[in-house]
Amino acid sequence: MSTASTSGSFDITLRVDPAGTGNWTIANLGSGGFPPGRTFRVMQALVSCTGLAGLVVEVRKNTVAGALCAAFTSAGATTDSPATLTEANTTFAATDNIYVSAGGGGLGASLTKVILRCVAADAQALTIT
Amino acid sequence: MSTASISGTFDVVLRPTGVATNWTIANLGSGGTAPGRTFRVQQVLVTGSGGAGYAITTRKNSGAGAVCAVYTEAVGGAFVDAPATLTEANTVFTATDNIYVSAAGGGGLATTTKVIIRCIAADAQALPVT
Repeated sequence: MSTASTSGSFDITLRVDPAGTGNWTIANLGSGGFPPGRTFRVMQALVSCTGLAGLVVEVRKNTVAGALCAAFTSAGATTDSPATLTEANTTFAATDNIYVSAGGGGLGASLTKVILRCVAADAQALTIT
Repeated sequence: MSTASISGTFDVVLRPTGVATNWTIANLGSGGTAPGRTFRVQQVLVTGSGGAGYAITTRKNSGAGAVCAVYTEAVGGAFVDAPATLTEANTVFTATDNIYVSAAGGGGLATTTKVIIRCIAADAQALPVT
């Protein structure tokens, strides 16, 4: 029997403009369209920020009380610096939202961008006729 | 204003078995994972074996559709993840286009065992931020 499937990787990019601190919930991941719509795993989290050291950026599942996926503390302004992953918490279900928070730090310490590099956890079967 | 978006690449992999010589890969635009929207084929890699002239062709939707990529075995024998030649003008598929793959020539023992279609979504999809 012939089979066909899709599998893939994708980036979820949060852009904060103007740069700032606060928290953001990235929703609607499981609503179809492009990936994921299914379980996925965060492979890498890259943080960009401005200002002096000490900005703490966290990526969690769903809410501020959710499992910590990735954490980053700035040493000053930076672009696409990798956060430290908590491997046990990198798998998101199709219905999990992504919660990002940024706070603390010195003068002008603000978040500008978070890139989450993800991979779908399984291949999706496609119809062959 | 904060914004979030999703963009990505994906593989569509056809694994043929048996004696069929054409396959329509459907269901691409029905939600779930990729694509559900316009995408572009970046590379087609084919695996199989056959005599000289064995050709594996990727088209849009049907045997009469625009040719996206062709691999023609030059000397005969086995080939593994060999790149097909793309027709750049025909590499963009809409969310409702199916992928049609056919194989012909090369003698009676010619077989296709795998076709990898490497794709990239044509645009980033906006995600709600709250």
